[in-house]
Amino acid sequence: MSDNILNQLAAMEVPPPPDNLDQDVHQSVNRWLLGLQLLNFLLRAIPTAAAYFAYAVAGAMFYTLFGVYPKNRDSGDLNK
Amino acid sequence: MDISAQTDEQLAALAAREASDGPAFQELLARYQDRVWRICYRLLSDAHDASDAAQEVFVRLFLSRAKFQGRSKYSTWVHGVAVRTCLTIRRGRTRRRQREAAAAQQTRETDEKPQGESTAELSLDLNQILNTLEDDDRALLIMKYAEGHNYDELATIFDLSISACKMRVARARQKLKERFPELDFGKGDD
Repeated sequence: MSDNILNQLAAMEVPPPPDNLDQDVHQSVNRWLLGLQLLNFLLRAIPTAAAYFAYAVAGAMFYTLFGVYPKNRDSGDLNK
Repeated sequence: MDISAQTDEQLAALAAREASDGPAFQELLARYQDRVWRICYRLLSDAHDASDAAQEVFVRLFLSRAKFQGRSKYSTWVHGVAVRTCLTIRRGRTRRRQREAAAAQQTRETDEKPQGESTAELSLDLNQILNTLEDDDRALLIMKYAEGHNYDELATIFDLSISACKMRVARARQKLKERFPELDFGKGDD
């Protein structure tokens, strides 16, 4: 009905998508997941491990200085 | 249950519970890759950029898969993500080209005459005509006329009110009429 040139937009040719688009998406998603998991590891696991070992080092230093282990929250075995 | 028999919204809910791009997300990818590609190609007018943009769209869909709350159709939501991604890429590309053009002009110390507008206008195709508009207006016209979205869907895609969408489409058409008075850009809410 209309000669509106904008109506021709729908008829403009679009080439088919690349064959490997789904593979590329899969790889991009995997890269993101790997990055997020590494970040998660860095932000959570490493500080926890560092705190754990720092406590052990502090205990060793305490023992060197005073001859006894510091009082442990979990078990009193070490002080005996 | 057969995953291919599920609606998009059901698949989106399943994909939100998947830890990686599992079967539900893969099915959504298969259903939408043609549409997303078409939107990216139309908005960016370049196969290489469109391919990068389509990838980025699906990565964004994956990362924000838990944010879809079903307030609109899943397809409208996907189209919104695609449009926003393409506009971001297009703005970056425009800035890059402007910088490159400015650098090239500085080094080139020739005094070539600027191209005459009147002769160039004659050979403008539809894409070039749309390129005279701002990116948002161009995207709005493409989504309305090429993808056939109604104002309700456009409002969701562009995060605008319906009346704002109508106004912007009318304004974009008016700009085109002023720039290309010999062409017919329709009138009213067609």
